[in-house]
Amino acid sequence: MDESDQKRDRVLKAALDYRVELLAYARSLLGNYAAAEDAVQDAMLVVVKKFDQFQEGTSVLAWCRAIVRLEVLRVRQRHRRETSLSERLLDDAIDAAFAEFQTAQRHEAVQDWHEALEGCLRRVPDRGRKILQARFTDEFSYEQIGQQVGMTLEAVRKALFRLKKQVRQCVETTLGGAQ
Amino acid sequence: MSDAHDWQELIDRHLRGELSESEQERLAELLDSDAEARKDFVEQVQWDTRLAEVLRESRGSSREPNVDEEADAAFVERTVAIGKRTPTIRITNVLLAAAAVIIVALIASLYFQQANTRRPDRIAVQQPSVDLPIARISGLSGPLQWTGDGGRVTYDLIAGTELSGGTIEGLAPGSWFKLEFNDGSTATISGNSMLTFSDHGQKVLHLKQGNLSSNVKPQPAGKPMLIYTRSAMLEVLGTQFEVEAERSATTLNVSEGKVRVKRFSDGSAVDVPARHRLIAAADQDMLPRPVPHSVSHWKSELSLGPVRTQGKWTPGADTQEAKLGAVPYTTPQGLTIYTTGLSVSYGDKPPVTLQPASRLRVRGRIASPQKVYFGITVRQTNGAFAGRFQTIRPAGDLPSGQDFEVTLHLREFRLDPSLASLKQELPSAPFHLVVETIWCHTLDKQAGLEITEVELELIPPAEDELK
Repeated sequence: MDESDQKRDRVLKAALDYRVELLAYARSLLGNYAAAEDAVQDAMLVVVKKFDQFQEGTSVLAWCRAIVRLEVLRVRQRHRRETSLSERLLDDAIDAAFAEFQTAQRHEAVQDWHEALEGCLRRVPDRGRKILQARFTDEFSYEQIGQQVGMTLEAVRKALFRLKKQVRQCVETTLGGAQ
Repeated sequence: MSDAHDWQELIDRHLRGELSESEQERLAELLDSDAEARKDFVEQVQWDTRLAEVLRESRGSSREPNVDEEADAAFVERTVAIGKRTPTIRITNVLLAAAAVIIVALIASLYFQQANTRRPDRIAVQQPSVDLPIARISGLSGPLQWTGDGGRVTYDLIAGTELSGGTIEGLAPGSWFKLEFNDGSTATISGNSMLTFSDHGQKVLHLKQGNLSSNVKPQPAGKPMLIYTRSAMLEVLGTQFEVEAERSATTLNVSEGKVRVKRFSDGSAVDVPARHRLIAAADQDMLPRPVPHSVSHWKSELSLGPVRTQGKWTPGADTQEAKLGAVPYTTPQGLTIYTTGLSVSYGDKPPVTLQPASRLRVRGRIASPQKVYFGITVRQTNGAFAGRFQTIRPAGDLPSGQDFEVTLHLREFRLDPSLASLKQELPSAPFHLVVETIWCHTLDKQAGLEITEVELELIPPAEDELK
């Protein structure tokens, strides 16, 4: 394996390790999970093609984020979506927030987090899981979830807040106990 | 409600594109002015995304991986050797896509090498078994006919039954059938539709006619779901869409992601992005267009011919209007329904949605007194089945032997009792949903029901206030 191949593998591995961070960034710009997945997937192809442009010693995450940003613009163009002034201002604020505070987690830490999250979700009662699935997987509105599970809109909002808090506390306790 | 709750909810709704312009401005201001808010925003977004990832994976992983996927995953591990732990399916997809140029040739050469060196008896053993279930029925209603791989025809289907591939046919305008594949992808047919499906490592569907809506989970790299109609082939990696197959045209509406469409007549292909529509027909441009805005008014045009109708159509003459007569359909249980049906939202027409102030005006004729059922089949804007709602006029309510005009307020419509088992999953009212079909029928006896015009309209506000 020559030096170029090694660099390609190194950059691609790092980019894949940051997939969730990049997906989070794309979601916060696009407000749609599937479109964000498309943008990140397309960004990965750009990483494979342009890995030699990455400057050693700089942040892979920041470099990948810049690629994702371009792909987000392409996704919007494909969807022929005009961006309003408030959206553009928000995009800039989000960009600044991610540049300032998004840090790369170690791959092992991410895996531990992932496993703890899976374990905690298994403990959520069926009705709670149904609500979480409806919001996170089906991307249903609060109103649609309410219709599906027979709850008022207000009850759905409270339930989602409580469920997310409980799951997060469970994950933190699990990881805290493991350390 | 606490500030923490409001803040989290603002982020939650922002991630799903639900914020209004003023809320977007508020979020931008908060992020601009407060470093703590920026830090918390990034943390919340990442937490939400991790949670979404795990929930999505858990929904699609409640099964044993099939042989091909295991082979793919193992192959990727050997070839690319990235990461210490087993990659998730989604990461595998990305890897395969990213490294496609490198590994496609290897896969092909390995495959052919294996194929050439297999002994005939080993090949037989390694063929996927046709008896392995690939999907299960997750919902159904109305008359349906199922033909399994062995050609056996069954009418008595029940939800939860596991299927190993075959053909499902909806036999009436009110028929509905939802299939959930082992990976969580769903396919729903409604109305008079016919779908053949199989999954030998790659999902292949043939929509002979009718309407299919589907929510497809990310598919294994290089093995997109394929949907064949008479006029086109659709290639789906993971998305939500709805497709209608007619004899010479295929209409595709994409809600999320994108779908590649290849037109058979000239081989041209195009990607259809989210919220776009494409009509693949020999005489139309292969140009995706934004899905038109929905409308609340619709009127039948029976004088133009029996377009997307069910029933016996009679053209208009000097003294009579064009009409649609009820035709019998007998269920396997021996119940005969005399039915007429009109498709409403289809092809290049804008989707017609129902409002609480909508009303249905039906003009027609009935030869003998009989209870008449008026109904609508509705779907979500993403194409998913949303139920059938109906209202009933008792025998004698409509004058027999003469023309009638009946006005039905949407508030009168109730979920079809035959869908009671799905009550929790379906909306309780048809408001803000897309009208797929409008139908009228009588039961048991031929009452000579004929329809001359159907109109869906909004009640004028002043009139509505009096109700």
